[in-house]
Amino acid sequence: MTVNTKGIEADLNIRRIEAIRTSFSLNGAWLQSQNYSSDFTYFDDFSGIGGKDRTHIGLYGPSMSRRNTEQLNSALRIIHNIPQIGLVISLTTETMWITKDWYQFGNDTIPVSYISKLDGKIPI
Amino acid sequence: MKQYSAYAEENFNIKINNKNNLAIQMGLRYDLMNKMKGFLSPRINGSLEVIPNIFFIRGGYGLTAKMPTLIYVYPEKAYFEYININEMASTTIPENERIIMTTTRVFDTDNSDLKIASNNKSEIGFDIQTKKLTLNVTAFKENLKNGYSMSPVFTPVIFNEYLRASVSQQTYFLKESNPVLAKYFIPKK
Repeated sequence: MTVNTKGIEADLNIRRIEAIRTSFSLNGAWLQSQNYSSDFTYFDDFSGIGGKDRTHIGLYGPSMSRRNTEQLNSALRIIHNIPQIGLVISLTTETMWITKDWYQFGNDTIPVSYISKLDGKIPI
Repeated sequence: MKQYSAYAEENFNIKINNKNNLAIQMGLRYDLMNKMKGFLSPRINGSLEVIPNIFFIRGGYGLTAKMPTLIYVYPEKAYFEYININEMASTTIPENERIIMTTTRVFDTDNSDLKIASNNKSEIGFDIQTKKLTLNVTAFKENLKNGYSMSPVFTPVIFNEYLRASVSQQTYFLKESNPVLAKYFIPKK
């Protein structure tokens, strides 16, 4: 299994502004990831439970299907202080701007080989 | 399961032009686990002070090893029960004559080719610090290879099915003999 990820993370903190007794913290991240197995993708949907219904197993090329994800999220935190009553109020808002999930397929129409039911080997 | 690790780190601080500090952190880790090969993972991080106390540029590179969990190192054997004949549900055969016969097949799921998963990560970024705010931005890229998963394997088995000659006659003959595939999962990279 292989996973390739890239991303950008940012973090902004505005220190307490005395005039409004409030501090701000904003962070965000963008991530893109792709994962796949270097194994063959196999097809075994036409086989039955009984012995004579066993079929050969179709094999698509290695790394035939790749899963991709992408996300962009941010969080804003506002912290306000009311000294008269010794209270701190914080407000946090998190947003998922993008959440994507998709598959990328190679040749998914015709199997390139098969595992023989006779000997479990891949004839080439 | 036994795992041994050793880690060494060194921090350098170099002054450039007598005012800009360059901080470098270097580390080296070694992991050794039974049944697996040893793995050496180096890392280096650097931070350059472009504007003293205010603006810094950083970069880093590191390789980390992810050791397999117990199930990948000592996977359970795969068991199969092939039913050669089963007369238990029969209504015509007398109860004391009904038979059941199965063949148990056991397969080792050990994969000695399992490689240690490793993650390769590089990053670059900057930091800004002032009296009013701090800002950190980092861009990174990582690549995990030989990640662990359980993948199917198919092993050939000859599956024989028997049949009783007739209700009155307690003799059995081979009805069918078919090649089948036993499907089970083994740890793979």
